[in-house]
Amino acid sequence: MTMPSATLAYDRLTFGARYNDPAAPTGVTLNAWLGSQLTAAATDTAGVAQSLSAVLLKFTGRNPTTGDPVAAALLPLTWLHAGEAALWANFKTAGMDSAQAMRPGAEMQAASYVRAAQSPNQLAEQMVEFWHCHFNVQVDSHQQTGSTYPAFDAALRANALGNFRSLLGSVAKTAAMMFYLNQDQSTGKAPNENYAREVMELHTLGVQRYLGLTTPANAVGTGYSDADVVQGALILSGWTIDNDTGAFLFKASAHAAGSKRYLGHTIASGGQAEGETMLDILASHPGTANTIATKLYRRFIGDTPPATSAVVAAMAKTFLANLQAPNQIALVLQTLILSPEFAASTGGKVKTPFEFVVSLLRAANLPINPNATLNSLVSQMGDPRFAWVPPNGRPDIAGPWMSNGSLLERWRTAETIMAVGAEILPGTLAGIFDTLQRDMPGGPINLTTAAQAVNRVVSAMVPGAGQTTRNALLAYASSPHVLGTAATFKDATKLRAALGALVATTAATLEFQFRG
Amino acid sequence: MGLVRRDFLRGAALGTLLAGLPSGARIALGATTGTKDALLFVILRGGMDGLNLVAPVDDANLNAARPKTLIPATGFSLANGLTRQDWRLHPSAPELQALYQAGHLALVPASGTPAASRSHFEMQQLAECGVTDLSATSQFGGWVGRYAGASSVQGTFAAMACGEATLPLSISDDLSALCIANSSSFSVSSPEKLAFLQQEYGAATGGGGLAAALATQAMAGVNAVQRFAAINAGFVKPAAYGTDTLSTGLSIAAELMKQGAGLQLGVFEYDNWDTHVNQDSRFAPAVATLSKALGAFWGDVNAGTSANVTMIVMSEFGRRIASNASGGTDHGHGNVMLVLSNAVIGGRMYGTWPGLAAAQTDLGDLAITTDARQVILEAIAARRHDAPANLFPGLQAQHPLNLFH
Repeated sequence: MTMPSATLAYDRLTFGARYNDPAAPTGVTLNAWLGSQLTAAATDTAGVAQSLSAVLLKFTGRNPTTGDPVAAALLPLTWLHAGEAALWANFKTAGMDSAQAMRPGAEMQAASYVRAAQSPNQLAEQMVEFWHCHFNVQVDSHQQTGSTYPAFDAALRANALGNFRSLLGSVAKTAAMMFYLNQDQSTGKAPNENYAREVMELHTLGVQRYLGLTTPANAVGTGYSDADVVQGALILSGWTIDNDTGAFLFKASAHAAGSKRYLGHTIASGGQAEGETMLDILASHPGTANTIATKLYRRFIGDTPPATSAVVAAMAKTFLANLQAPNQIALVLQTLILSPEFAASTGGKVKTPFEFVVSLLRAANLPINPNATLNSLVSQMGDPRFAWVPPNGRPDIAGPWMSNGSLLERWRTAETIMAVGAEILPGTLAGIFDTLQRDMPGGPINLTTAAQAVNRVVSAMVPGAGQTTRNALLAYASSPHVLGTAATFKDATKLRAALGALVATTAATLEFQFRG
Repeated sequence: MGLVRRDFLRGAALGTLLAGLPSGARIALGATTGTKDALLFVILRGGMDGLNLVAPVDDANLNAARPKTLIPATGFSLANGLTRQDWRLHPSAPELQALYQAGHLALVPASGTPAASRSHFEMQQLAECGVTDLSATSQFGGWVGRYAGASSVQGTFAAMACGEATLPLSISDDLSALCIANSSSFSVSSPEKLAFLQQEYGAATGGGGLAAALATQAMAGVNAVQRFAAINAGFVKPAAYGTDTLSTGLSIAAELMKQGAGLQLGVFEYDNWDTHVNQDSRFAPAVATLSKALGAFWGDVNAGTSANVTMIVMSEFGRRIASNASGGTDHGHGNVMLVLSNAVIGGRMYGTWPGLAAAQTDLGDLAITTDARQVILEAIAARRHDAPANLFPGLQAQHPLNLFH
């Protein structure tokens, strides 16, 4: 067992540091902090709920019958905690108003920035994000996915640090996943193999255990072949969504009768129970344990898990030893966090566009207005929120995100977020702007030079920065267009703009591209 | 250019590749006289149903297998099919029909990556890495990046992906490759910011590791933005293009070529082909988008004078011969590749048609008779004259297709 440094644990397991965060762990409090992060629920705290209740998100609807445009309005988020039945009723009554049908999905996108940035349960939010990538569902693939996205998100949250079998089963029964991967229309007569394939390839065993088309009967515990895809589709035939209620429905009349052969097991004819057995087999498969362990390594330690990794093996062992445990995933994560590999992983992870944006919002330490501008900025970096099209989820490695086009886009995005005009952050001198105006929290306001501002912004955002970075920031800040003019310090509007530009440029430093 | 392109052969791959090769044969340079074509690689992600794009429409097996997802009766007749059947092109592709008729477009039916997989992700990785075994993908990396390292590809705008915000796997190893999503996104907001980025990242490209790789890629972009802004000033996307990302990317590439920016290698993608359900309503607009984009690009880049460009279009796999009960098609195997060039012997098809009778198929799917890598290799050899001897590990010697003049 190896304790990581408090700095690494904080930078890597959260969505980024907040200067002078009273909740940040120290060497003394790290153990307790980890314990609380591993047991916290992925639910909205009172503070987050309050922030969300203040959000007004633009809505441009249509008349449900005629389809004629209706005047746009700023409306509160009302669908975040809605149940399956209410969401489905909205979908059914939206008629020609597709924006109304998709509104719950749009609200989930907006809320995700606030939750990731402000929740004190940062590790739980990180895991919600992990599962969104693992069980990718493109929010706008169907009206049924967008309109039921809150129920899908709730399924992920309920077991974000919980039990994998429970998670797999509840996701399988969501309308969002059913429609996204066409399981809703798979019948015994006309099986649709889409979900049956991806549940093995992406959600459990992993493509590296794909044995191809023509393998002899595969032994229990090895991999899967196309025969298992076909059999899996038959096992799950009849799993669909009740078109009246939006609830999961096993339609016995659409189910293929007879026993099936699946991953080396014989599954006796048994209706819905066949599918439950199939998920049992998948969730307890050593290949699944390895897949989840490997993906968690890639999420929290580094991009390239070694072929034989002690920590991956240890996580897989924890996974398999706790198949029934309600905190199975937390136990696996604990194995990861206390590994020497994690402790030595500083510099191993580049932020994804979403993580970059959320880390900037956390550094800004201001109320967030998650408007459509913010959402489209993240899309333009190649990381559309909940809208990755193919079911593999966005890549969790640095490669794509350090493409120069994506980097240039993220650095201009930081400028947009910090500028007042985008209305994402307030135009006041609160939050990080207050921090930059003082020598220490609670001290007097005494900002008069670019050099002071650079020293403070480095302490607040990139404390590990070296002289090159400090020099580059100082040269930037000293420009007459930024903080190079004495008058700027005396004009609150000018100062807010200039400090916003400096914060955005600090977000463009090399150090700020990394998750610790 | 400093450390910008990874070595042609990465780490462990070196020994494997060099084994059995006569010394000095690592990169067999052909004649280097003459101009090199820009080589553009278009990936159609999701599994484009080639049998719905180009097929012998009177084939009894095809008609029996798919009650839907057939080329409509209004499809264009294609001369020089692989068999004495009625070969047709989907009617939503008038631009492709015109290019075929004019001899600029060649078709290679029954081609693809010869690997026994029906997985999007596995087959995309294999196609982009130019290998047939998943375990070799991380060893060799993307083939475009590999070729960029082996070829004398140099210059700020030499290698790029256009139209998407991130580099595709095929070119991601090329740390100097530019990634230009659209003409307005590839920019820095102010001279102060540009100076900052040059100072911050210029100092960080050495020493290896993730930070150096990130800094190297950042600097390739930082060093290109000013010239790109100059090239881009006053650029208006010609009206013939659509608004999709493929059209946007191709219009940028055409502009760079017209302005002599030195584009050598380009990667583009269009992800709209995974038609498991209701294919007939989804496929036609996707084909129309593809056809229009290629037609617009061809007209644009050849305006005035014939352009030195060869484009290869492929998807990770074709779709099953039989349609499914949802009016769609599931994952299959062989597909059709498109080769667009002023130098290709177009207006005809290449390869061998395996037939669609059960015994002729690859487990119910169109068999692959032409390895996609052979097509790429011929294009490089004929139009760039510097095909590395072992660019594609494991590629078996094949009958040459003789695609080019």
